[in-house]
Amino acid sequence: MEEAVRGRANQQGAQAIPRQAATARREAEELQARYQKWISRALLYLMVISACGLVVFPFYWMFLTSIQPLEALFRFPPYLAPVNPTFESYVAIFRERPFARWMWNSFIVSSVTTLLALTLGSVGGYNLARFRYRGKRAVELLILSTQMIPGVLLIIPIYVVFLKLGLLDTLAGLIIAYTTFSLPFCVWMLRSYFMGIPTELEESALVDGCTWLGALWRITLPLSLPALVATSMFAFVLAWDELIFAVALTNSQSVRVVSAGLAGFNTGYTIPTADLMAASAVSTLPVLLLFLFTQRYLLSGLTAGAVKG
Amino acid sequence: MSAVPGVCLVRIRWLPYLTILPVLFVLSIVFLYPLFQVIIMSFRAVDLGRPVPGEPFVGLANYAEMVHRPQFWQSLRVTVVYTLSVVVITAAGGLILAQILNAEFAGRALARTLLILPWALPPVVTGLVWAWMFDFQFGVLNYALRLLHLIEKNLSWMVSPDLALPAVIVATAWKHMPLATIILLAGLQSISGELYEAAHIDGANIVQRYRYITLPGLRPVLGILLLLETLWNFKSFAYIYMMTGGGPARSTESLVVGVYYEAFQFYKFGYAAALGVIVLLICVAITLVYLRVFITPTERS
Repeated sequence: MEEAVRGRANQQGAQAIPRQAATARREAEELQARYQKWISRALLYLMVISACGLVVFPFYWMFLTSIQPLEALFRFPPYLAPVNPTFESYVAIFRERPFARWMWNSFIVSSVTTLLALTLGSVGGYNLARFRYRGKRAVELLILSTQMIPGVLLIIPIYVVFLKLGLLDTLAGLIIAYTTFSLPFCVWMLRSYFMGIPTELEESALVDGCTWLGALWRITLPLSLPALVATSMFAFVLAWDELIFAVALTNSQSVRVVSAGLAGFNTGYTIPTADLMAASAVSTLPVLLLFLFTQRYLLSGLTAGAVKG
Repeated sequence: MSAVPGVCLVRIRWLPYLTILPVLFVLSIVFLYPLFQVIIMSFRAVDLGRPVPGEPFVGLANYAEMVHRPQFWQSLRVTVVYTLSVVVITAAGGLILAQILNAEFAGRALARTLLILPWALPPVVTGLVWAWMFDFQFGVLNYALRLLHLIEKNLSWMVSPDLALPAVIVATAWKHMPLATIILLAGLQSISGELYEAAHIDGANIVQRYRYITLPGLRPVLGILLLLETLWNFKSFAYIYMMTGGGPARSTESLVVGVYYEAFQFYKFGYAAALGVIVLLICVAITLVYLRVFITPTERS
């Protein structure tokens, strides 16, 4: 009995040393692992913060420039923070230029374009997602191949046709052009999304006496909200941002949209940098707000189309 | 993919054709018909500035004039350099940002929102803001570079033939990176985590895991991204037009900016049409090459 106890004690004593060493080694490893983890964390945050800084700085600089008085603007080194901030430029752009008109025109053109592209795109996308017919492959190829055509090439004949039809220098002309240019992408994105929605739901609606249009309107479209929001955003932003059609097809101030207005801002002897940045900031605001409100739909809507291709 | 149930097909056979008609109609009158028109125009003498009576067919004269002009080759060079630079910077930067956003960390949602912001800035505004930041006298970028001791005195970015194009490239890449990031992030998230675990157990290091799991997993998404970016930048107008206007002395004039000036400043519609047709042909060639490289025969079927 005694021997047995002593024997066990000896045994434990013999193991104690390597066990202690093992514990120490494990602790060192853990410390090193924690240290490495800490370093990689710090590195990650450093990268995140510097990337965010690089991305946000031009926004900050635009806003800062727009609220600086002239004497604080044209100096080197530049002020990095506001000095006697003023909102004069924001008043000036509305008082001295038809800026409100440009914004309104852009709003009308973009909204109508979005509505048309979404309506045509839903029907077209539904068609490609659900129906099987001869020549469908050709239609799909046509829609995809439009992405290769440079807009600038089509402006030349469109200019000539619009000149004959009296559509030159009108908002309607711009709406027609933008609707067409956003349509292929809208059709394709909605097609991808509709294909992911099970057909059984629609089939049961059809059996219950719904027409195909009713099934599309009551079943498929409500289920496709993320894609519809993302598609609308795309069409709206395309129309709002577009420049080359806007400068080539419109001329008079009363039908200028905001992108063309900004492009023609620098006329005169002094460069109105603060006013230009104020106008830039205001023209960005609608798109920025729309983006922030629809962000969660954008990611799911856009990426569904992107990954499935 | 099942088609429409029998009930519907029996009732209206022509429904598929009817519902594709609006899209086809719009695409025909604003894409196909003008495309046909402009190709014809490129073989005619059309000059709205000095109208040629009857606008006769001149064969390949517009194209011949193009290849004899040094400006055409300069524009082609500018367009290729611009496109390749923006695509490479955007894809590489987007890959890094997507990798960062794919990691777990506090404030990830905020970082994601911030990193996507440039997407919401209109190209016109992007050009204006960056041109102001690149300003020779008062620009904040010259100040930052001097602070970092990278330059001794202010660089004349927008007014120097060598520096104007790099400045436009930086602005364009800054604006394009968010979309690349979103698309690549979606691609990363579609790669199964089990693959990485298995690789880890088999002792694959981080480079091997990247080379054999991440890149192949991203291949379809990366392919479509590279194609779209290449086409977009090749056809890009707003950044160069807003930042340099093609200057100084037409040294940064891309093909598309050239088409615009030839048509709407010099009113040489025939010549501009020919130049535009060349842009179209290059875009078609880019697409065909892409299909060869990125889509394997199995995927094609």
